[in-house]
Parts: sequence; structure tokens; C-alpha cells
Amino acid sequence: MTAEEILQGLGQAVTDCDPEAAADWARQAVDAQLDPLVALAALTDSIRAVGDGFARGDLWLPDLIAAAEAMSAGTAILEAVIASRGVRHEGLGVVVIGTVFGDIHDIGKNMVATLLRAAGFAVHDLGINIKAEDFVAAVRRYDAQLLALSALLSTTATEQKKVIDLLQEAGLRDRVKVIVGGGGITREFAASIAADGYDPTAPGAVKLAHALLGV
Amino acid sequence: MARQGFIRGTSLQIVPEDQISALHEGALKVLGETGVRFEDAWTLDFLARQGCAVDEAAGRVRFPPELVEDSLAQAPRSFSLAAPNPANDLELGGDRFYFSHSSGMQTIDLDTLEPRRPTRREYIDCIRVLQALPHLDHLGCYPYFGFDDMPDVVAVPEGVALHMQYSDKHQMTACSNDAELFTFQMAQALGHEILGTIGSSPPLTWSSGAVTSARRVVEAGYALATVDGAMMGGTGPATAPGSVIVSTAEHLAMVVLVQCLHPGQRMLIGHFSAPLNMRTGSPAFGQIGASLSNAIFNQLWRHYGLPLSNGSPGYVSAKGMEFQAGYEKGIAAILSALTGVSSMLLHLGVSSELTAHPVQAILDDDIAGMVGRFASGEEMSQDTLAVELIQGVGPIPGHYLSRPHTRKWWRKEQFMAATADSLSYAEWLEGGKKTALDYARAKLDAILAEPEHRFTTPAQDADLHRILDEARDYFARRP
Repeated sequence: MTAEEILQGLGQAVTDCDPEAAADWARQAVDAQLDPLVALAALTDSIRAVGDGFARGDLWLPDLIAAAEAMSAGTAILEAVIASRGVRHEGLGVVVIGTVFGDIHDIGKNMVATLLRAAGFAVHDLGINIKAEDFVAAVRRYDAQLLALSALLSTTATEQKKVIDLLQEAGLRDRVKVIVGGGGITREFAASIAADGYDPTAPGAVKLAHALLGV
Repeated sequence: MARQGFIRGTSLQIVPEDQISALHEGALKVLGETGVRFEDAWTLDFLARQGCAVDEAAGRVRFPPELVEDSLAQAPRSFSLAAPNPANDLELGGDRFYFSHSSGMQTIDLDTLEPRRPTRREYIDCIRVLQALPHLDHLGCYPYFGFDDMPDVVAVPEGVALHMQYSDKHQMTACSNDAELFTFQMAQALGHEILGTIGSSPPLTWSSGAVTSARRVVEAGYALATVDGAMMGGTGPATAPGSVIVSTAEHLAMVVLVQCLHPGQRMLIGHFSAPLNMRTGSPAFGQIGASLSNAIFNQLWRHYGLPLSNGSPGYVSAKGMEFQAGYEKGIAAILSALTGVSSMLLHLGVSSELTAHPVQAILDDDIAGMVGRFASGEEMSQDTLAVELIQGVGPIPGHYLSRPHTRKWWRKEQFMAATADSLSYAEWLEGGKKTALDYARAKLDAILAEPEHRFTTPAQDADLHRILDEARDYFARRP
């Protein structure tokens, strides 16, 4: 198996929304001692194409999310290798993302995470129902430049303020930009909790990330 | 391979099955005792020779029930209609149904909503839009009744020629006023099949012109569409069942005439009835009573088994492309689809038979897609029941969005209207608060920005121009 075939297989697995294939190709990349950052780029290129298709309206949410899951399956294997070598993968910037505590909705958050990855950011997705202190710990651990907080419910939106307040208390607020989003969030609410940015759409969140990080 | 159209997977019956016979017996009683009026001597003589009781002085023909039943049995239950492009052929009969378009005397100014005579360019552009719409399966008689300063009397042949030049979908044509002398020549010159349409004169009358046209359709070997038009409370009883009996008696009289003339003649039975607007005296298009009439008529004629069409979903009382037009067309279309049509007029008409516009047709195409999706029903299988999938996903945090099952099914399950706003509220505000009409206008521009395609060769155009010249000369000389 040539390096080119492995890289092509990685990209195709994302296009085909096939997590098992993505994991298989990632393992082959490790076995063949390919540069894990190059292999990761193959996954990123493919998810970027999916993201572009989504933005054009040619592809839809199920395509985007399934492709993202395939990418995650490959990424988990490659990032373990990257971490074991002490190499830091930053891409355009390091992002921590998650749905706040009390809220278990993750579709919108997954869309933003996928499109950020597609755009070239290094994304650490903490998942759903994440406590404020866990967000703060992740920002510190990954030395994140951007924190993206999702809340679908108006009842959980205030949890976003709690995260921002805790960042302030921990002395991290000046080091990380915070963007908020979700069905229950408005531009006015985002301003009221001193978030750095808000956008109602996933593609808009990516533009916001570029603008806030200057990349 | 014919056009797919939609296959009805579910149906609606509003008359108890054991009362269908009351409608049929009512029509037979009217045909046998009251009779139907025919205005020409040839028909009276011909039907007398078939066993009908003919009152020549009154022009009244009374039909024996056995002759009616025998004639009904002769008419095909399904048949094909060939389009210029075989991919656009139609298969009429059974549970398949198609969409066609209505028409207007004039076009409408989109900004002022005022009617005006269309130009030739607008007429052609309208055909190009009808050609482009995915759910517009076949062309109606004409989009507008004429254009520029053309005399109305040649509007039908002029329109048929433009249909042939700018579309490869099947077309029907209005047979009246001798128009078919020329439209049939055009179809024959190009090797096209055309659906000849004649209309009754309710109540219970067929004009000599309609009979003459029917005979020409039969002689030309084309399929014949008969269209009724009782206005409930005016030219038919105010009640839907009574009005259906009048319309059915008219159709059955023509079925007898045509099947005796040419056994096995392909016939499409068209219902075009509406309540009478008791304020203005015009047809109350869009009223739910028109759909009740369609539903009863459709159920009876499905019982007979002949392919049938409904005209009224294509006509509304709304004056502009707004909420009233949407609910009048949407409700009428879904009820016609569920109660058994083989084809219905839906697209294009804006206000009764007065105005039409391609932007309305674009909006209507979304109604057609939605109606078709619903009427297609649901497949019940292991895969659609998805029990294994449900068990695999389980409760939260499980979800279905990334599952292959979702990617396999969601596009088939959902119909996404091209002109419906589906943005988030914030995107909608930032995008200029666009309405369905804005999206439809943008789609019109996109369709017309495409390269113009001609479906005829220069030699065929020469044939069409020669026949049109003959038509203009014929109608100019005719008193």
C-alpha cells in the first residue's frame, strides 16, 4: 500500500461517511509510519470539501454530521500518535467546543465543530452537558485560543455566563475568545454576558472564528 | 420510459361505496328520460342508428342504458400519450397522476397586479418556464390566450406552434372554432401526438362545433379529452352530487358517440365544475365546493375505470400571488390527487381564467411536489419501521443524524419546496426578509438566464410557418 493510496483512502472514508474505514486507514497510516500531520490533513481536506458542499446547499446535515463522525474516528487514532510525539497540532487555531451543563443538544454544536475542522482549526469537542469548570480546565489544558459554547434552551443559556465568569476568575479570560450560539441565544444576550461573538448559523460561526483570531 | 409523475399510494373516498350506484343510476335516468341536446343533424342521425331515441325537432337524444354500459366498456382503462421526447410520454390510467397547467387571457404585472396583454417574448418565456419545471408533466392548451396584437381567432394555432418550438413535453390543444384544422396539421407535420380537447355546454348540451371537433380528433387518431363545466347553482344543480350527475350525463353521451364511431377510442374525462359566485355570477374558483364536486366525480369515474382529469385546481379567485391563491390551489390539488385524478391542471393560472404568470407556475410547482409526496403515501417495510435502528440508537445521547438510514431515507421522505423560506429567523432578517414570491421571481430569472433551446429544426419551423400562414388566411377570410 503506497502512502498516496492510504491518504486517498482516508479522504474517501470521510466522503463515504464510513467511520470504520476511516479508522482502518488511520491505523494503516500509523503502521506505514506516515507523518500523522499529513494524514490528518487528508481527513481535513476531505471534510472541507464536505463543508463546502454543505455551504453551497449540495449536501445536507446528515452528510455533514456523518462525514464528521467518520473524520473523528480517524482523527482519534492520528491525534494519539501526534500527542505521543509531543507535537502540538494547532492548525489555524485551537478551539474548545461543547454544549453547556444541563443541555444535551449537540446537533448545532457538531455542525460548528465540523465546519471549524473543515476550515483548518484544531477542534477539541468536549461533548454535551459540560460543566463550567470542565470548560475552563479544557481551555487551560489545550491552551485554547477560542472557546465555543452551545446552548439550545433558554433555560441553559445562563450557563454560558457562568463559564465566562469562571474564566475570568481563573485568570484565563484575556487569553481566550469566547463565542456563543444555539437556538436560545440572541445577539443581545451574547453582548449582555460579555461574549466576544455570536452568530446564528454554523458557517457564520466559522467566519467569526477567523475574524476573532485574525486568521 | 414515460414520465414518472406520482403513483397514488393512498386514496380518499367521500361517497360510501354503496351509494356510487345512486350517482350512476341518476346519470342513466337523465340520459334515458331527459336526454342530451345535440345541435347537428349528422349526430342525431348517427345516434338514432345506434339505438338512441331521437327527437329531431328538439335536438334531444335519449340513450338506452345498455348502449351506455356497452360504450363505457369499450373505452380503454389506460393508454399512453406520446410526447416529442419519449422521456416525457404519459401513461394515463390506474393510480399514476400528472400535473399540467391552466391558462389566462392575459398576463399580470407583478408589481401592480394589473392584467395586460402579453408580448410574444413573454409567451415564449412562459413556455420555457413550463418546460423547466420538474413537476409540470404536460402542457395545457395555452399559457395565455394570444399575444401582441394577434387576432384571438388564431391564438390556438399560434400557441401550439410555439409549444412545439420551445418544449418537448406532451401538449393538449383546444379544439374549437376550426383551430384543429391547423393544429393537427402541425402535429402531423412534426410527427407529434396531441391531445384534442372539447368542451360540453352545460346543462346537457354538446354544440355542433364540439361534435365536429370530436370527429376530427377521432379521424386524426389522437386521444380525446372531454371537459364539462357545470357551474353549481347556475348551469348545474347547486348540490355537488346533482352537478356531478349533469356532468356525468354529458360525458357519457359523448362516450357513446365516440365509442360507436371508433370503438376503443382513447378518452380522458375532464371535470371542470365550480360553484357559481352568487354575487358576481362568475365561477367561484377556489371554493371548497369545487373540490367536493371533484371528489365525487373522481370517485364515480374511478368506479367506471376511465382516466380522468380535474381542471379547477388550476383556477382560483385570488387576484394576486398571495395567501388566498396558495390555499385555494393547495387544498384543491391535494383533494384531487387523493380522490383519483390521472391528471390535473394546477400551474400558472393567477385569477380565474383572466390572468396567468410563470412566477405563479413556479410557486405551483412546489404545491405539486408537496401534493405528490403526500399522495404517494408511505412504504411499510422493515426498513421504514426502523425498529432495529431505534434499538441501536437508544435514548439520548443517541441520535439519528449520522446514521446511513437517515442518509438513505430523508430525501425520499421529505419534499423541500424550492420557493419556501427555510432559513433561520436571523438569516431571514439579514437576507432581506424574502418571501416565497421573491424566491419564485429569482427562480424565474434563473430559468430565463439559461440558453434558449429550440426543439424544432429549421425545416420543421418552415412547416409550422406555412401552416400558420394558412390558418391566418383561413380565419381572415372566414365570416
